[in-house]
Amino acid sequence: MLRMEGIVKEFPGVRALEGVDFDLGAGEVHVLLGENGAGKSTLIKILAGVHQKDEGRILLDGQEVEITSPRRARELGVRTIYQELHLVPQLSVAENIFLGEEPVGASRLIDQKTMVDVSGGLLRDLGRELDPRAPVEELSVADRQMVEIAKAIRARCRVMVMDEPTSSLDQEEVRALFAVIGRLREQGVGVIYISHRLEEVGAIGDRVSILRDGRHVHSGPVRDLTMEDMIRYMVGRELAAKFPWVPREAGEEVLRVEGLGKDGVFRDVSFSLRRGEILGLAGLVGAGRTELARALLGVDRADQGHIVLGGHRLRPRSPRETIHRGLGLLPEDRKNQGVILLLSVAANITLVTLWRLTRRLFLDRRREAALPHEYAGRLNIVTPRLDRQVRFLSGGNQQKVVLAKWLCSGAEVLIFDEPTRGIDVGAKYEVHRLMVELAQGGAGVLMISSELPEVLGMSDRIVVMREGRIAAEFSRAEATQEKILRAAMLGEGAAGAAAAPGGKEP
Amino acid sequence: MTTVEASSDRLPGQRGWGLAWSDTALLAVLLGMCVVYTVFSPHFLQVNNFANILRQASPLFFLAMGQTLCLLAAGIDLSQGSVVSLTSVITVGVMMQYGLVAGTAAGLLVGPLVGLVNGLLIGPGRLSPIIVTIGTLFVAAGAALQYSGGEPIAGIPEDVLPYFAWVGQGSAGPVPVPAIFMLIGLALLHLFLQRTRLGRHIYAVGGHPEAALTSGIRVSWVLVCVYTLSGFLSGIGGYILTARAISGEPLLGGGDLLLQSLGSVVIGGTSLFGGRGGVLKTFLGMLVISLMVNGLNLLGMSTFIQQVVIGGIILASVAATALRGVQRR
Repeated sequence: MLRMEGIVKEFPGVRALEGVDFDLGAGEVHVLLGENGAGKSTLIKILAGVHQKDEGRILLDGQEVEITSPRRARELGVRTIYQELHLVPQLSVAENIFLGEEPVGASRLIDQKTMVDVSGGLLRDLGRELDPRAPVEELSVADRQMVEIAKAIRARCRVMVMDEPTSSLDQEEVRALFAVIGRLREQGVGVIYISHRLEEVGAIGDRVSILRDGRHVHSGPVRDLTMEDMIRYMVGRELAAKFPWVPREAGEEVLRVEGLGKDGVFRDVSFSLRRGEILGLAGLVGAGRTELARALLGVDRADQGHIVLGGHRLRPRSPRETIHRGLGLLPEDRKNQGVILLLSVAANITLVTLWRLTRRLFLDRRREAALPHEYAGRLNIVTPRLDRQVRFLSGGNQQKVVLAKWLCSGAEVLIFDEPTRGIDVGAKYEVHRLMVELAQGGAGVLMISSELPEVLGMSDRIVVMREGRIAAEFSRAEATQEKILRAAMLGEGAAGAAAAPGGKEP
Repeated sequence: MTTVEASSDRLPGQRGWGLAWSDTALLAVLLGMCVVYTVFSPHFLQVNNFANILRQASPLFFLAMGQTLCLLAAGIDLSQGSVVSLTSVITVGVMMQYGLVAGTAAGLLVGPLVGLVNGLLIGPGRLSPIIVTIGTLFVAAGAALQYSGGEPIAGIPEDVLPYFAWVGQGSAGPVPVPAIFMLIGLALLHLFLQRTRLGRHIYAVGGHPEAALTSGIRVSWVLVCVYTLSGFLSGIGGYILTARAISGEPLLGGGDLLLQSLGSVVIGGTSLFGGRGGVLKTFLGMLVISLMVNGLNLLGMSTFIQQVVIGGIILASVAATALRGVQRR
């Protein structure tokens, strides 16, 4: 149905695509894989009319077409479900589904009733009962995604591009989404599916194409490839082990959490973290893990309990206090909370440490210049210059900038919240390696992650949260995917907690 | 169909009439002001006074409507006051030479033209609304002064004067003519925003420009329409104001008019960041300002105090919306 041949795209200074071929059949789910910067986004943006190709041909049903604008792409039946959803939050579900193509009566006025009726029907067909009149801003991310899909279907979309659709869904929602994709397939819609979650590829894809450095390196049926194969194609090298975990001696306690609670969010959370230890914090999205991290740092205040940090017993009231006692948080929402995008790499790195670089009233420019150099080198941050704005860096490098900031501040307890979400395989490995290095250097690492392989692969010890409480604790040896999932979903397996070495208070 | 039927009750916060509980609060403020003024002034609660309030409010109303469109599209129009001035001098100047129809046509063309320039620079030109409309603010204000030589233009011929003055000063029964224009304008604009495609697209462009673009909406074109409309509405306001003054005043829009227009929109609760609000809200906000000014005048308060009070109301209303967590930052 769709065929892209020899697509070339150049941006100033970069050749983003060098003659990429891609094709898609009706009723097929074709997974597009590649590291960040491999050219996936560029390829789908050309298809969506956002970018124009420099060379090559696009054929739809054997006819050559020129996709000159997003409008043209829509007319041809090509729709993209972006990661950052393209819905107007203030408008209702029905208004969004019909946005840009509102039905008008003879009077030129919008026909509300048709909009509401048709929208309700579309959503019901997708297996989602939503009030078409509700404002989109009141919906969950998963429901918004359904609205986007309904919007695309209403416009008789033939090619649907999904850009990391599962990145902010929990497992239940992912299952619902896959069911919907199944229905799209039955209706003959071709789906281009982009994801960093390799385990999804086998679950949903028919075929997979892999890009690397703007070139097409492999296409074939999903069942012919293992995850190892995919990674090898993506990075072009064999990763020695998927996770760089090595056994370590745990030292003295650096953080103890005693009965911490926040009304309606989490309660009675107790655990301890030792030097040299990586403690995995697992659980479903919404179990209260991110909220716990924020309360530990003191961004949000806990209502009950205390923490013992750097030898002081306190209830965190402000990040200023906890940071000075050696805590650092690498937040999940890196772009908004981790780095200041408009500041330079160097300025981001010294952000927390500025007070130490100040001589009398003014910043010591020489030291401010020297520190980032040291850490950028140590963490292997890839940037042409340190005064480059952080927004130009890749996700993995941004994450390293956040890490450099905390290392620079001398943090001894580092909380990683979803440290590798949305960053590519190579950078992922590097972030993991840095975590291990940190632990080897004597830091305590608390890693919040929704990816089970990451939790299992990286943690020395695993705490599972469920509905705001600690449901179970496992040592590395006894943890399995099944046990963690059971604890996270059903709260079973709590018996393991008491037996775990170095475990929590009785 | 059961879902559709079951959901026919409006949820709180839904746009329909475009009103929510915060608007009820505004209505309460309006009522409260009426009660206070009635108690302290015998002149307040009289048909004449209310006719007067609506007559005076009408020009501000049209500016505030235009401003609402711009804010909904996540922009702003600072050139409104200057458009009023330029409309005023052109209307009277042309009218004196070529008659009523030509003067009206020329005057009402000024607003859309200035607005079109704004729209082209902001939409297709992708320039910042604040900078662009500050630019046209100066251009239009200077043009008005240049055209009039800095002096009011007076001397509309006797044969046209009654017709022109009727627009600003006439009444149909107890209802002032400017108030009739205002109510017609309100109905049309509400219908336009809520029920036409262009109206809907204004919300989309202000609420999430990228979503609008990828939904096939011609964002630049929508912005051109928005600013042209804002200019046109400001022009109507200027025309009515001129018909009340019956002379072309180069400084007619130079005072508080623009700020009161912005104030009306903000007090009404339309978001400064786009996509949220509506003309009915602005109408209420404008009534708050108009009633306040009228009442304080009746109570013999100085115009200086009035400014303090209006500023206080704006701060209070912004704080109220912020407390609901909608308009922070």
